[in-house]
Amino acid sequence: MTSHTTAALPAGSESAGNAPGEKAPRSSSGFGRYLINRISGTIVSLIAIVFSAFFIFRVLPGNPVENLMAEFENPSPELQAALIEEWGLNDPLPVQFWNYLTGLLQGNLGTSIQFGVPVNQLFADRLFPTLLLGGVALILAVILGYGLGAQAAWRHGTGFDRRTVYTALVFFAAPTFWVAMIAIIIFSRELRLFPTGRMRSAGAGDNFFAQFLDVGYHMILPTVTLTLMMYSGYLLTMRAAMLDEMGNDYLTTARAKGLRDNVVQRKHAMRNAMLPTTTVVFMSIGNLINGSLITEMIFSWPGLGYTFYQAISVPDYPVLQGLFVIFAGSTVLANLAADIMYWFIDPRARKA
Amino acid sequence: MTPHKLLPRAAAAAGALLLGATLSVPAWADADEAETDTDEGVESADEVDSDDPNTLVVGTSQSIETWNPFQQTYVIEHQFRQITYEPLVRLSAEDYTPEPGLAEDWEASEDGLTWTFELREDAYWHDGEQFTAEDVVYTYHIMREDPDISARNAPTNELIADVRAEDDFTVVFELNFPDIGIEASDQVIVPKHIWEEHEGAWGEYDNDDFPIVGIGPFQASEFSVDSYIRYTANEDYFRGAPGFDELVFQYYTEPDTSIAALEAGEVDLIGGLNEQQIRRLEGIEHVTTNTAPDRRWFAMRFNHGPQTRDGEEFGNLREAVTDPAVRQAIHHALDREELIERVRGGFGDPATSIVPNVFTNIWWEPSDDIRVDFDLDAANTLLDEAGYEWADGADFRTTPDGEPLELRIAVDAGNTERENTSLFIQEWLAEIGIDLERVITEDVEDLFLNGDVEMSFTGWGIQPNPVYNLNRQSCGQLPVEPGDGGTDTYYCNEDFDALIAESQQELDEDRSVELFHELQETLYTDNVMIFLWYPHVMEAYNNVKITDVTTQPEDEGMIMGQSGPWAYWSAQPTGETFGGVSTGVLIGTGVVVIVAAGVVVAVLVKRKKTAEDRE
Repeated sequence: MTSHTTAALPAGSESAGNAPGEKAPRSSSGFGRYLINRISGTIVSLIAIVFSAFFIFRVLPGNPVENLMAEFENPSPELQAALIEEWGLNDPLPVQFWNYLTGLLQGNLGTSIQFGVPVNQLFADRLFPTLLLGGVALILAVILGYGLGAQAAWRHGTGFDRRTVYTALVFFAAPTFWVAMIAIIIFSRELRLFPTGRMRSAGAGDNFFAQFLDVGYHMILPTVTLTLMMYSGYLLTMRAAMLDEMGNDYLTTARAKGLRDNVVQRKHAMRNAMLPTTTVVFMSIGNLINGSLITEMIFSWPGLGYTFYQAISVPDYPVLQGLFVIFAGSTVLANLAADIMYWFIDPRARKA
Repeated sequence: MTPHKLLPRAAAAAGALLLGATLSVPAWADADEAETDTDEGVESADEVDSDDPNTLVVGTSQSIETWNPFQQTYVIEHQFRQITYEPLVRLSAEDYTPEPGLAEDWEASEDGLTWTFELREDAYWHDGEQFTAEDVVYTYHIMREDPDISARNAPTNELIADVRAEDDFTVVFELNFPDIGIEASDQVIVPKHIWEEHEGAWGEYDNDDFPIVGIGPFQASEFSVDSYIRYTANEDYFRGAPGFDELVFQYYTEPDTSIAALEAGEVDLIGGLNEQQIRRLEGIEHVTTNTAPDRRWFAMRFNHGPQTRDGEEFGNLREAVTDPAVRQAIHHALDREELIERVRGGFGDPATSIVPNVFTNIWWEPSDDIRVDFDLDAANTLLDEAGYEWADGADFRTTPDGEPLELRIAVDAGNTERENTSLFIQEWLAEIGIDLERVITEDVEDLFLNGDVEMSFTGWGIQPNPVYNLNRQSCGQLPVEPGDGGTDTYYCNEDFDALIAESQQELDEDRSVELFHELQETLYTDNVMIFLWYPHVMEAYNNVKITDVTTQPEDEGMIMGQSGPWAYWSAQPTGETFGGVSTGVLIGTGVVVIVAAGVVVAVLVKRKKTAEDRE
């Protein structure tokens, strides 16, 4: 998936715009042409995803039939034959591929081998928790990362800058499961302030506020953990972008107008530094649903990340295929959206 | 919801939202409002968690995907059936012997083909309908008529010719051949009045109309995917009301997280622990740990030579393994106690047979004259006598044909326990002159069945009637074509097969036990496999809250993986709880959150003002 994301990086980022020896801007290349360019690239990526989703998991070791038969207390050969038939694993690979393709085009992702329910239903049940956790953490991480990053750059070289960057690097390097376990040990086991995980308590009631409170209460630890794991990337990007802006003349002009330092920082420098970082955020939106696998596992969060993990051990082909298409597809589409946005917010992109 | 519980939640939730700045001031308003709501009792009756002394909270790592009892696979689904429904005959908590379930009494005809079950007249479904013979007939009707479900029950359908209701409380089963398996069948009975609404489409019916109508001690009343399953007590259960009012299965994906939850008093009972985890929990005052023999065995199996049912041999197996002397020598060279101590931290019992020692009624132990003890000298003597020469100075022996004595064992990649065990075995075999190659692989089953290795590890869970696993060592399981078939070892011994058949038809209890003993003895003396250990289940529970749990077997048995509802039904609340937040922490947190919120608001307001002033 990394290759897709890099391939789909907007060609018109700030460095391309300023590159020495850059080709003369094509005068006739309007928005339409730019759009077609981007969309065709996206389509190629999506086709590659659809194909690789089918084949990549079939080379995984392990045989789903064998693994599942071990779950039955008294598996009979008849049952095994019936299940293989039911899952379509008897068909030759090309036939299986064709069924997968036609199903996909109709929006039908097949039936989960391990659970025997439609993959669509599995996703529907588990998408919201993932989006909720990932979304809130992303918003927090962006606010925290951008705020601290801008401050650190502005106070470049001070003790605050060093402390901020060091802290960020520690979280950048720390393994998620470790941070999550430490959080559980301190806040759940010792202080007993928060539950160790899950999204809801049994019997919190149907009342909206009761549900809201209950989910909010369960969310705190996983959200804080995920935020800590994510914010450092934004912080470092923002700090670097800010440092790039700081030498520019327009800041001197702004200061010469007599504006106060923090106004210059927020209204002038930070606004410009936002441009290169927008892409990073958009890419994160694409990664939202697959970015929290480990956090979901440790905190027993009922989301897609953990479903993916469960499916790998079988391997549950329909679930893996479906999740892969959705994970990779959403990343590619988010990048497309970022590219399109870029056309409007950064005129330099139009020259690419 | 009691005020002392709501406060930390409200404070924490509001604090988190403030922290996130997603909803700043309104979040407080929401929280306050909700608090008022619950204080007025709108939701208070519904609130459940481990702080409630009458709710038993159990940790689980599996989720239920289908509530259709005919289509279920997983352990958590098995537990749902055990506490929601009831079979005709139960397996007792004392020792797994059959005892009355929905049937009060039953008997077989002389020829073993007709079984008559007298049903209890005091059993009522959760919705108040009375249980009758029609429910039993309908359950078997579903199992035979639904295409999906009948495939899952092929052996039962082959066995049963007819099920009919003699009167409202008498059911007669006609069998195609005598089989004692019908007695201890774990098949639960479903209510006809619910299921006949789905006539012909039973396989697709999800059975998820909560509360689900069953007949057991608990009724599944609420479910949130991958979060929890909530059961309410059935006060009218025919064995008597369960001790706890509520039973909640709470979902934990990580064992370490569930341990932290048990320590914090958030969950009351957890299982599936390993040695390190159980040792850690042993030191905690409010936690009682329970290790008990599982219904499983673990063995090293020998490959007795791949062949089809017609006797056509295939694969490239090394001949030495088919020599009984070599297998007997290897048996002498394995030290079970040492393995259990070193590989499993002592959590297991030395194994001798395919029947785990929990089934005390049919379990077999070798008598002194045939017992094979760890004895490297005896092993060497056996090999010397059988013509496997060990030249002076050579590392290993040679076979009578002059080939090096080399064997291969397939070891499941990534399975530390099996990898470690294979290292010990490799060392012991080296001491008796056998060169053992460890093949670490993901495809143990394929390598073994294709005859590319002579040994591998295997382990199975066993039913009180072990016929399924005995059959896997019979000639009938040899493949028709290379690659299929259900054999474990390619062992084929017609006397053994005849014994299995006899054991399944023998209605006399003493004679039946004798036959099971003979079968186990054959497996032992022929060295079909070398049974290494019966693993222990490791569980832990909150002893401040739970008391009087019935284990299975009653003497030093397990709690969570039982066959039957015994543990959950018998567990009694002490009326105490352990857990929740201490008042000091509570007040402290409240103060901190309020002060922090005040500071944040003040700073925001101030900054906004100055910014406006200055521009």
